[in-house]
This record gives sequence, structure tokens and C-alpha cells, in this order.
Amino acid sequence: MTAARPCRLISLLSLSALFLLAASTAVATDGSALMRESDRRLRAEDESARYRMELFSGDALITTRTLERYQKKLPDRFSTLVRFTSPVAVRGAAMLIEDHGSTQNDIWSYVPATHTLRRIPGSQKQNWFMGTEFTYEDFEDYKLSSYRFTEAETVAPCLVWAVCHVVDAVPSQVEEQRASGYSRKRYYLEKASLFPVQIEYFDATGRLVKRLTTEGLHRIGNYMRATGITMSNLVADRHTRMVVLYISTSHSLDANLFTQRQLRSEGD
Amino acid sequence: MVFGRRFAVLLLLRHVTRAMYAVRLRLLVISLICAATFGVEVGTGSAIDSLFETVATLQAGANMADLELLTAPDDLKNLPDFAALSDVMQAEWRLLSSGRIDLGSGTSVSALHVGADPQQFASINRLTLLDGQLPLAEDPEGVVLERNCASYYHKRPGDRLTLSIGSVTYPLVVRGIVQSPEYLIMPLNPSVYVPSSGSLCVLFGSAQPLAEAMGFAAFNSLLLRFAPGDLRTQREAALTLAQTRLSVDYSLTRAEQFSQKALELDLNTFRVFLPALVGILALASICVVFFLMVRWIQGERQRIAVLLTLGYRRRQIATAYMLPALVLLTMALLVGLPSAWFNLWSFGTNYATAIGMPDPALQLHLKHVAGAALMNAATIGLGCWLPIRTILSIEPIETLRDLSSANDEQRRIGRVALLIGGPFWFRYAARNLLRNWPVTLVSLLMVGLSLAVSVSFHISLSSIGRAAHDTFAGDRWEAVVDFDAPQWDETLGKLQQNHPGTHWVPFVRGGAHVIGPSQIDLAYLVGSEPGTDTRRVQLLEGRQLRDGDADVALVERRLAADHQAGIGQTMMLHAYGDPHPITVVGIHSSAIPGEIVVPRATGQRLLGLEEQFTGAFLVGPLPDQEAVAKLLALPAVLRVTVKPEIDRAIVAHNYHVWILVRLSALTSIFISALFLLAATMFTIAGHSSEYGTLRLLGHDDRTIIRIVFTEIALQVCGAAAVTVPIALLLAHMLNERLTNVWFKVATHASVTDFAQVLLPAVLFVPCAALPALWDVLNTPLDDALKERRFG
Repeated sequence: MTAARPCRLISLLSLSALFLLAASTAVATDGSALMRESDRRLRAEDESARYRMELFSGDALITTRTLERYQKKLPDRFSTLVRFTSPVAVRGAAMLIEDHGSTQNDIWSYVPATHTLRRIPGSQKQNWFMGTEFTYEDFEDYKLSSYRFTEAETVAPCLVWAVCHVVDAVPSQVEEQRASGYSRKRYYLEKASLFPVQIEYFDATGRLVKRLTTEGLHRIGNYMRATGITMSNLVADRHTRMVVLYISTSHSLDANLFTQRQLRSEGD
Repeated sequence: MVFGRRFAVLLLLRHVTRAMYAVRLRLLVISLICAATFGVEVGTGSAIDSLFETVATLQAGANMADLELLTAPDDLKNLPDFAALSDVMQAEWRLLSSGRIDLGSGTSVSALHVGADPQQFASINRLTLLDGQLPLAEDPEGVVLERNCASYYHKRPGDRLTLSIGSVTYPLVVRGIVQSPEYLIMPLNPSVYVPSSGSLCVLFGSAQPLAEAMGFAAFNSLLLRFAPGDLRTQREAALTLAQTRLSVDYSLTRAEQFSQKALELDLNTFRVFLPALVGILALASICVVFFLMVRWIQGERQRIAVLLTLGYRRRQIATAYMLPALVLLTMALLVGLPSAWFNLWSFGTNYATAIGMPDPALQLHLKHVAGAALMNAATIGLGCWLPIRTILSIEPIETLRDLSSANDEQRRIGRVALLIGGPFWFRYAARNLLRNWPVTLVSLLMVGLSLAVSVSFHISLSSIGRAAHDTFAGDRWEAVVDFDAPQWDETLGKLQQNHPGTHWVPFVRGGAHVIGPSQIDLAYLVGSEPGTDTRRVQLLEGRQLRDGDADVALVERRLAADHQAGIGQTMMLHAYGDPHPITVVGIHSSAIPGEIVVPRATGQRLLGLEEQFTGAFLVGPLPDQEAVAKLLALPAVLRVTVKPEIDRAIVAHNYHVWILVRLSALTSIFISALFLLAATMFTIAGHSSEYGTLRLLGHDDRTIIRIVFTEIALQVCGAAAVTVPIALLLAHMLNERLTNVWFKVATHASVTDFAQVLLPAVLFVPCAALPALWDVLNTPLDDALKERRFG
């Protein structure tokens, strides 16, 4: 299985509370199979959702936005469209991720004020996105073909869950090593659902710089989804929280929604 | 013996001085004409240099950035650390946001908001405060306006503005008016169809309101100052670092800035046109000097003959008669300097005002004074050369009156003159002109030339207006609609739905650079639909765009000439992303200097506007005021220019050229008036003894006045007839020059062009004749007897 099976970070919105990790040491083994299975379980054919995004500096709420996300499996790719719907200054700002299964995804960004549609080069995917604590690459999937996965351990209990698999992901492809802002990611997969309930990000020096946590994991149709996620920038003490307002995996989406033309339609 | 020779020379000089004194007024007039030419050359030449120096001084004092990187809007957190580069002395970010300012009454203007940390405005690309105060960090609503915008739209500190960027409106308060080193001339919006004055307002303020609205601080412009060193290497290092995190659209050194290029384009237009102007005035000066010297020497022939009989050598006499040339040159320089100051001031300030420059520091430049002095010496020398040479052919026998006149030719003329009928005063005047036909002919030609210069400038002015009209006359569109931001192609359908019965033809427009081996020039790129009659350029060479064309261009003539780009050759265009080669298939003339027309698809790709348009031609019936108001009410529509307004818009866009031609016309009128005055005086003075004789014979003053006025009127009528072809020829030459520096200006002469010069001339001549006539009527009759001239 060579094709990278996308699982957007945005899709990881279904965990309940988090507990401190109590580690139970295990022998490090290949985690690829585990990640492939997690990827399979996460991916819905069609998915649409609306979120409230809150930007915090420390504990202070700086701004609140709303956004929508559409995701669909198409014959030749897996596409995700993310579009801000408020406030008015960012309304229509959007991003389209096209995963053709190659090493690099195509990421398109649209700025409504200047009506500018741009392709984000691979070298810039480590850039911060629209003032959030997410970078463009945080929106990408596991990129199964570009990483080497090692199951480091299992922890029990794992946050609010009984047990988690802990899988370290290190870029294996030179291209990804160059493009990624991280030297390593650590996934915490809830054992029963294989849902990534926490992700830790390490910079080039190996320092833990960001952490993604999820809350309110529950079932939407055949898929587990979170009610909210928070990306914390541990260096700058800033946080971006996304709360799910609506989510559906049962409505078939029009393929035309996942085009550059739709991206620039500003949601009309 | 030596003493005797010296005494003889002194006597000769004394005689010439007396002769000069007799024509002192005429010499003064000639010197004024030469001074006017001197003044134009020195004044305008110095004005151009002063304008360039003013720009350099203002920029040097503004701590301007050595390099500006224009990037895609990005989160400030993605800003690379330029301090890591050893050569970078200062690196500042800012957010340039395009939007519109509501001016009320349904109109708005394109705006560029320069958002930054307010402290930056006093440290790099430093703003000069003209009124009010600079933006403060604790006053996010406060902005300062670039002075051209403030002046054009009458905005002052304390005025409130509403700036719209995208869907967001920002209420702002004008805190001050500033001069920006980046916008030393009127900022133009390259995206609108005719980037005329007032098409863009620039505001400087805190980036905080925008950051608050978006929820994060963003930037899209970086200003870098380097330590002294190789700018090319420094630029490459900065670019390499920037591209690790940013999408860089442009990297512009100070010399490559759009506003800098626009300034150079404007001032160089002036510089290229000036020689044509000075050339025409110098030609007029040569003719005037020549004519008046011929008349003077002719009047002196008998006295010169006497001098020859007294033993003076011809060369001695000719040299002595060069004295007026020296006097003329001295007087021309003395009077020319104030004239130069006047021209320096009038051209400099008018031109600066026309292009929106700050008040220039004007000063005369020695090189122009020296150059113009040499030119004046050459002008006077050339004008005097032939008349002085005629001295060498004068024989001592000419001391006796009219020995040379009784030849066959003059007898034939006398017989023709007898055929003229009418009252005595008319016959006498007409015969007088015929008898001295060579002098009459030269007078006609010279007066005609003098008037023709003025007429030619008026024809040029008319031609400019007509050419502006003709530029679009053959097009099928009735209005041009400009948008405040690029629109997507699919919105065209919505516009047509909203305005049934209309047809919209979209185009893209934007700024670009033409990259040559040794120079980079500013270009205005237009991507229009090929193979339609909606917009057809004035082709000078090659062909129009055709369906299926790609990566080809019609290049504005001057730009093509500057880059030596002929048909079939390749030019490198840089608008967005990487430089792109295009093949030249046509050379065209455009009112917008540096305009490059490409197929729309090519334009879209070059400008990074795939599937977008920045404006559209409205094809269909001419929209009335109600329809225009309806169009302006559409959210994205910035400006609607109906076809009848476009002529005015084009002339307004090139107002500085118009000013130049207008001032030249005024100068030429001054020269014409002086010449008419001098010519009239010579004509009357030449016949004064005859008029005296007529008075002796019993003719009353009324008859003399009739004869004089008739003679002058006949001369002016003849000159007017001569004026027509000469004026057309000169206007054609002038328009050719305008075509070279500007756009194709075909010669279109109207009756009005001639009437507005010739009618005042006809009315002015009797006034010009009055002083000489007064002398004639008050000359004692015994003086006339001494002259022994009985016709």
C-alpha cells in the first residue's frame, strides 16, 4: 500500500477529556500497520463540519472565528476544503488540500481581500496558518509513505482512556525531511478506536514545541470524532481551540466543491 | 600713420554704432527674441536637472530602503530572521492593503493602506510631515495621507475616512499630511484602464486595526537596508532567505521601484521633447536675425558704399558691421538670464505640479547657461553671416542712388505694378511692395514663419486632443469599468445578468517590468481578448493580436525602441513569479507610456490572475448617468469611464506634456509678437523717406496713414497665406517628436488653430505700426529732401 491515506488533522475532532499519561513500557516495533489501520478507520467518504475557532494568548481569548470544513474521497485524490466564515475580515479565506497519494500534497490558499489564489510550495508548509498555532503541514494526513513509524510504547491509562498506543513518526523521505518543520511527531492512538487523541511535535533540535489534544470523542455514523481539539504552542504559550458546532459523515458532497474555482467562490 | 589707421577704425566703429543706435529698438526686439530662446534652453534644461536633483535629495534624506521584497500576505510569525544576514542593517515589515476610500456621492477612489509599526514611518522610507502629526501606536484609527491624495481630494487633518478592504470597513481619522519618498510623483493605479491623476490614494497608518480584524498580524512587504557593498549579492542573499518561508512576488531595488520608474519616464519625456522645442525656437531666432540684418544692411548699402569710396576695405567694414552681432549676443545673454529664471520657475513648478512632485529646489545650471550661450552665438552668427557677406559685394558706385535699379527685371515689375488699380494709397502701397519684391518676399516668409511657429504649437495642442479621441474612436466599447480588486471570470455572468442588454469584454491590467540586458523599465501590462474589435491598438508595425495567440505582445513604440525589440524578437517580462519571455508581434502607439498588450490568457498568467479580470469594456449602448450610477453601486466597481470622458482622462494622464506644449505656445506667441513689431518697424522705416517725399508733394497725413496700413496689411495677409503651409509643416515635425516621446499624434489642423494666432496678429500689427508711423509723420520735411528718394 503505497498511497498515503489522508487523515486530516481537522478530522481528529472527537476526544473527551485528557488524563496524564501513565506509561507502560513496551518494546519498540514497527508502527506502520497500526497507523494504516488508524488511517482507514478515520477516513469518511464524505464529511462536512462547522467549527468555532478560539485563539488564546496564555489564558486570554484574543479572537474567535468560525469555519467550515468539507472532505471527500474522489477517484484520483482525497480533497479537503477549509473555509473561514467569520469574522468579516477573514470570511472567505480558504485552503484546499489535494492528496493524490504522492510525497507532497497540493495545498492551495485563497485570500479574499486581494482575490489571490496561491499554491503553497512544499518548502512553506511549515509556515503558520492565519494566525493560528497550526502550520500548513498540521492539516496534512499521516503521510504514510513519507514517514517511518515506530510504536514506542503503550500507556495505560492514557489521558481519559484506558490504553493508548504511542507511535513515533520520523520523516523517512529526504523531501519531507526538508519540508517539514518537525524532526519527530508522537501520536497517541486510543487503543479501541485507534483515534489519535494526542499528538506531540518536536522541532529540529528535538525539543517538544507543540501539542495537540482532543476532547469529547464520540461516534458519528461509522466514525469516531472529537467535539473539540486544542493546538498548544508550548514555546509561545498560545493556543488555538476548535470546537465542533456541526458534523456529518452521511451527506454526499458534490465533487465540484473541491475545486480551485469553489475555493475562490468565498462561499457564495 | 598708425594713429591715422586707428582713428579711421574708430570713425568706422562710431559710424556703425550710430547706425545701430538708429535701429536700437529693432535690435532690442531681436535681442529679446534671442533671449527668449536662451531662456527656454537654460530655464527648462535647468528645471529638468533641478527636478532630478530634488528627487535625489529628498530620497537621500529619507533613509530609503535599498531593497523591497513584495510577498504574498503572510502571518508575521513566518517572517524570516533577516538580522542573521551580516549585510542587513535594518529590516522592517509592513502590510500593503489595496482597498477603496468612500468619497461620498457614490464615488470612491482606489486606496493603498501602508500598515506598519508607526515608529517605522520615522526610521525607514521616512515620511516628511507637512501638516498635523504622524501616526501614533496608541491611535490605531489615525492615518496620514500622502500629500497628492490630500490635495486632489481636499482632505485635511481631522477629516474622517472610511477605508474598505475586502468586505471590511475601517473608520479612520486623518491625523496628518505627509510627503513620502516612495511617492514623489502622483501615485497612479496601474490596474485601472487610464491610470490618471487621483487614481490612487496612499495612506500610512498602524497595522494594528487590520491585525485586530483578522486576528493576527500579517505582512506582504519587507524593507531592507544594507551595509555598503555589492547590492546584487546582498539582494540574492536576502531573496534566498526570504524564499525559505515566503512567496516572493517581487524584489525591487530603489532604482527599480515603480514610482521611481514612473518619475524617470515622466522627466525623460520632458528631456527628449526639449530639444525639439528649443530647435524650433532657435530656427525662428536665426530667421529673425537674418531677416532683420538683411533689412538693416540693405538700408545701409549707400552708407557702406560711401565708406568704400572713403577708402575703407570691405573686410574692415564687414568686421565693423559685426558689432551688432556682439551687442545682440550680449543683450540676449543679459536679458536671457531673467528669462531663464522665469522659464526655470514656470516650467519647473508647472511640471512638478502636473506630475504631483513636491516643490522643487530650482536653480540655473552653468552647463545649460554655457550651452545656451554657445547656441545663441551660433544662432546670431548664422543669422548675421549672409547679410554681412553681402557687404563684400557692395560697390562704391552705389553711393549714387538707384543705379542698379534700372534693370530689365525691375522695368518688367514696374509694368506689372501699373496694372494695379484702385485708389492712390492702395496702388502706391501695392506697387511699393512689388518694387522691393525680394525684401517683401523675405518679409512675408519670415513673418509667416514667426506666426507659423505659434500656429504649429496650437495645432499640436488640438492634435493631442484629437489623437486622444482617435485612440479609441474605432473601438466598439462605450464604457470601461475598473474594479477595486481582480474579479473572477464567473462574476462576468452576474454583471451581465444585472445589466440586461449589455455585453462585457474583460481585460486584465497591472504593472510589470521589462528586463533588458542593461536596463529594467516599467511597463503597464494589458491582457485583452485577441481577435475582437472591442479594443484595437494604433499599430505602427507588425500585426494585431489574433485568436490563438499566446506569449506574444504588442509593445509600445518607445519601450520597444529602448529595448531594441523589433518584430519577432523576444522580451523578458516580469510581473509575478519568474520572468517570462514574450515575442513581439507588433509595435503600437499608446497614450500610456510603456503599455504592453498581450492576449488575455497570457496577461492572466503573467500577472498571476488566472481566470480573473481587473476591468471590463462595456459593449452596447452608451450608458447614461442613471446606468453609470447603477454600475457604480455594484460592490466591486471602482470607476466607470464612458467613452466621451476618455479623451479628457488621457489628456489628464499626460497633463505634464500638455503643459509643456502650452507653455511653448505662449513663448512662441511672445516671439511672434516681437518679430511682428520689428518687421513692421523695418517696413515703415524703410519707406520713411518716400513717405516724406509724398508729404512734400502735398499728400496729407491721412493718405500716408492709409498707405502705411495698407502696405502692412498686405504684408500680413501675404504672411498669413505663407503661414498655413509652414505651420502645417512645423506642426507635423512637432507631432512627430511628440509621437516619439509620447504616443501617435497625427496632425489635425482646424480653422480655430490658425484663427487664434492670425486674428490677434492682424489686430496687433496696426498697434505695432504706430510708433514707426508716429516717427514718419513727425519727421521734418527737409530731412526727406536730404534723402532724395522720389520713388
